[in-house]
Amino acid sequence: MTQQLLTPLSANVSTSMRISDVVKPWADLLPNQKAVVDPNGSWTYRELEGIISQTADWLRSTGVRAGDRVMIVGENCRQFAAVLLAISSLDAWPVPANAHLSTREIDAVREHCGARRVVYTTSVSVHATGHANRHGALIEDVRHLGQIGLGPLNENVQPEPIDADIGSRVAALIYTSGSTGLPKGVMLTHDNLLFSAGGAAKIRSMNSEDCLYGILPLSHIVGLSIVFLGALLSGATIYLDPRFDPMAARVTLERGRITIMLGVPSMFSQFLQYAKIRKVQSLKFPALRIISCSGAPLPPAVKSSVEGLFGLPLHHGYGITECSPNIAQVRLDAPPRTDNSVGPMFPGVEARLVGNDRRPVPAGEVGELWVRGPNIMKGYYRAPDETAAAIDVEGWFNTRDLARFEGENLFIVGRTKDLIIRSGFNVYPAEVEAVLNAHPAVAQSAVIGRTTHGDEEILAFVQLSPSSHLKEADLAEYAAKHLVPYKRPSSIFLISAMPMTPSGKIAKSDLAKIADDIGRGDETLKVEP
Amino acid sequence: MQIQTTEIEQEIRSFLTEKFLFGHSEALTNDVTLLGDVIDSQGVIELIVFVQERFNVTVEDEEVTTDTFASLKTTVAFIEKKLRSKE
Repeated sequence: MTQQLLTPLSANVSTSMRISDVVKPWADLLPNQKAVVDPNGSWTYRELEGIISQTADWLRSTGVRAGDRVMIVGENCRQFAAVLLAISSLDAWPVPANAHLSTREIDAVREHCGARRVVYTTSVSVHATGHANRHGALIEDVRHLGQIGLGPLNENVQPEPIDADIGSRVAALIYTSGSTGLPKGVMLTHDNLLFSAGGAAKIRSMNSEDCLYGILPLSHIVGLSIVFLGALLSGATIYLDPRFDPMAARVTLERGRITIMLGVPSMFSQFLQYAKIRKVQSLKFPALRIISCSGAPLPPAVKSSVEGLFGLPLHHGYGITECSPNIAQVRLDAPPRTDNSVGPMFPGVEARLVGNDRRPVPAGEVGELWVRGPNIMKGYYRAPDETAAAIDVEGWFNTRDLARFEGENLFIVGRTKDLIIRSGFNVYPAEVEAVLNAHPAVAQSAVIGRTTHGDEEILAFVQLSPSSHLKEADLAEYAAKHLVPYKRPSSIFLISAMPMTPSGKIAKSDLAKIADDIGRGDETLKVEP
Repeated sequence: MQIQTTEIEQEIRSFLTEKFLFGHSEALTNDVTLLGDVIDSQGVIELIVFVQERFNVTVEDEEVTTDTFASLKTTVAFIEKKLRSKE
């Protein structure tokens, strides 16, 4: 029988609904359609609806109340998805956390959010099991979910008040990855997430024939909002995978007949490495129709190489957790781009670029990007001062990113706090990284600034491709050919692996420590200005 | 020439220690999870390249699983199996 082609609009999505409510329309319309798949099995929409309900009953029986924060420590799997939606259906707050976080990070989140309970996906994650054992969790056999870790009841926490409007209630409390500082708890409402997920699904014309590759963690805003909720809003199937490597991904893209893959740039860079070691010029997946990435700058050289490899345009988007996350997105029906624009603004989201004086900058110039729309978070949890500093009285949110427009297309040029001022000149790390990444022997690079003698020096960290024997001096010579003197790295560090956040971003805050550990001269190349 | 189990283990141990553990060999216990605890996704590629080049075997995409590379022990067992299949 021909599969009905249905879109998010067919699901009769309205505001003032919970994220868990997106399942029911599809359970009625397409009960036998696969909703969630992982390496160990699958659930249809009808099954998922029932499992959410039963899991909610189980959570209620363990003492979870509306307004409680319930932390999920796990990796992508069906259990994670069911527990998250079940918590939401109770009007409690899911606090999804990646099991790869360190003990210090997990404990900091548990403490800060005041978790009533912590649930661990122990049957699919040794990391989750490690945290569960450390916290004294009991391993329970829960109907349909299998073995699940359940942490002790915290009787000393109070539930948060429940907003009268369902859409304004907190649907997820996501702690940011902390690539530039201490993690903060971002309160995202049902309206926030459904606005973002629905818009993203519409831009991609997602429908019930799609199968999305759920490789970004459910604890990550893109993995949760655009991929997971976008798929469920569309009656599509999501294939949840706990970990990425290009070999396993190649197999999944082919056998799972994946139609849409959203990733971070480093994942696509690794496909290029994969092609090199496998000596293949192209990777063709007949079902795959969209590849898209966000979360970090996309070097033009990587973009064009990936497009050649997949035979598909690599769409780029821009967003941040506090914006649920969509801010800008390249449109599928627009002519393919060869630059690194993140596309026009997301429908329904406003933008303005301002200078240091908070006044709008002239057209075409770089300014700090402020945005406003239904995607803006409710605030940072238990941090009213930080919330007030981030969102002004008119509802504008400061992204702290520097950007410029070319026509309607947005270009991100760097973080406000990442901007390096070298000899009085502005240096955007993303530009230097793009040059280094364009070298065929470079797998990835990261550039940071370091204060020295009243100036800032530029430190470049470079991870070479496997089997490359490039020297620091070669890279310095290469950089000198492509960058004016004030943009050239002052020091180049060759490192075997980049420190990464669990969501796949380079942890720049760790690079400064690595630089200090290595020292100011040992094992690096100091480049004379 | 036949490569002994201890030799394979020593080579893998040295590679992982030097590449990913900054020389801290004590972190590479027998039960540590290689994928995730020791090496990230980029590291998987480097490990496969090393195994293919050093032992002159081909590692298929389908063989790169968390079971195959769960630990040092399973990795060594996998390489031994590949070497045996060549004989």
